[in-house]
Amino acid sequence: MAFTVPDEEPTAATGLTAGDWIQASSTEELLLRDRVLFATRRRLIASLPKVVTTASASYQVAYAFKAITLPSSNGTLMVGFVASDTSDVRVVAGASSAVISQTGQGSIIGVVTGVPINTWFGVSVEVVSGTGSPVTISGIYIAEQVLVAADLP
Amino acid sequence: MTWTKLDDTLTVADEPLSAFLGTGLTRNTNAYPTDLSRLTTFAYPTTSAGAAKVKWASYLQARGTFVTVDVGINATNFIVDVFYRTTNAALGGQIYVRHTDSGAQVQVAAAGQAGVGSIQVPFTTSRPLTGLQGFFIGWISDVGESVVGRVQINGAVGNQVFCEPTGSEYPFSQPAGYYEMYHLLRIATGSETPLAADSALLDYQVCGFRENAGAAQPPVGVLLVWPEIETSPAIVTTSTTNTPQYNSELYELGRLELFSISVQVLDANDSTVLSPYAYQQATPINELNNHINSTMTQLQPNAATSVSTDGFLGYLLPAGEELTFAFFFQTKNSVQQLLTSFQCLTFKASQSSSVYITFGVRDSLGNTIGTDLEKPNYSVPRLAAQTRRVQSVDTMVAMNGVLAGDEKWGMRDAMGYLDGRKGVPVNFIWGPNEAGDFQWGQDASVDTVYYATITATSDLYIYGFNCKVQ
Repeated sequence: MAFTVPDEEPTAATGLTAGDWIQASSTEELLLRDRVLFATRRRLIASLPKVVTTASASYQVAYAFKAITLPSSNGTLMVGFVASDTSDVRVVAGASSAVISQTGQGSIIGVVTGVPINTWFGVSVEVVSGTGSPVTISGIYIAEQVLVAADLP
Repeated sequence: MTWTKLDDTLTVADEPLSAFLGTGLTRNTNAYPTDLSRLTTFAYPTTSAGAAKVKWASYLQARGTFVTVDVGINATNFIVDVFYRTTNAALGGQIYVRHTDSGAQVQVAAAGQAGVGSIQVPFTTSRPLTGLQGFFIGWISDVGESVVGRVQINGAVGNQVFCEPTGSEYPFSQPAGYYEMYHLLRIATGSETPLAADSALLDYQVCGFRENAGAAQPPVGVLLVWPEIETSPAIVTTSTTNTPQYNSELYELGRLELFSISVQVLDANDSTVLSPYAYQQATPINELNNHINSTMTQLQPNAATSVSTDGFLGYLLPAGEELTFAFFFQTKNSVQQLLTSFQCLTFKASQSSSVYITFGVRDSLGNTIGTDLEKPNYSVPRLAAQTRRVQSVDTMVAMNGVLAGDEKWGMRDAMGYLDGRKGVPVNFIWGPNEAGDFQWGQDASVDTVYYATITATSDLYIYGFNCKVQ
């Protein structure tokens, strides 16, 4: 069986109370949950409160902060936001950066790769309206990307 | 200790759980508090040019903010990283970090600095901590050595000190209306009337200045100070035009300009699941199973850690408006509940302190997910206005600038340690069992970010905010 990280949280193992015969299926459930636990319980880097852009077509800084990833991070951050209209969020994390663009009302998730691992780095988050009018960004959520099989030892 | 792959090809169907496997899983599980240690970040809005909006000075006591930190499991050592600069590059202060439950506190000197930089405050707990923990982050300003200038004090009432310039001009610029200040007023003693009382408080933080226009507007200038001027016994008269005047000095205070606070768990004690060496003994295996299950919940990333309004350490939620925060989940069906908790206060005398508070979850287009929660007629304390020094440790003055309709106030919404106890805790448990309502958020996925909304029928000041996922 190939080594994978399930994308869905496995059910809890059963049949493990005193007196039970311990079956391989219970073992597999334990293994899967152990993998999922390690792969998906990554760090939340920041939960940024609502920001309203200006009408300008130039980026404006919304937040600047410090963060540090887990030693076992794969160096990729996931950035998601909800916007009332077309807008961009640019995230600069250490020496890496990415622009995540949303078209119209809705939400989008993007990534920043090459982020320092287990070292403090500065993050700046900039926003810009794509409509010529102020756009409300209901919040910006930045977290370490969950690991996949290739990331694991 | 690091996570190690356990190859499931080592077992086949119907084969008993091997001691090898149980030992490996136990080792992994016990190491997770350290291997998956938590980080909590509180970032505050900046200006569009990237300058800090949160600024404050404190003199008489440490004042700052309350944060709720998810420390994970068995945390014993932290680093509190404060990302800041100071208004005066030569004038810093002291940063205080205090655990609200135990009262344990550390204090470090933070040098003045023109550029943005970090100071890292180490914090060691007296016992391992798990889950959500409250911390107070405070600031006491250093006082400049040189006199900024002098003012002639006519008298004082409450927190207003009536003054005139010594000479032709005040020793600071005077924009119209309120002018934010971060200075120390040292009231002179001597032969003036009335005489200063023994051991009287003569040093007051100046938070603002207002100049009254027009010849018929005595006093000309008003310094807004904290705490209020002592009156028992009085150290200055209550006259607005008294002569002779007190010739008093102004000094600059170190003012913190805050960008973010990050709390990293450095060390955590291992969990203590027993290793099931003998596969026939089911009890240790069951303990391992239970521990993995609880760890799954405990280490789920939070949905939100902080909310903050421009220029404030906390969040000002106007009646009828929405507080929002966004979140997404990188695994399917992993979320059963959102546990939102915060402290809040009302502050407008014209509004009811019996508040209707709601919490809801929306998809990216604003459609309601699950069922909104309501707290009707929730009794929220109203903060007291500024009072005298003897009561200052139990009095919040944070909202004075807001009440005046002006954000320019030298202490902004910085609170003292005991101020945090004046608010009322609000908890919403959204769900349960709403997992199927959330889509899986991956790279480039559209409309898989959700947001939560909180509304209230009176203006609220919110602090110590957290939304935990389980």
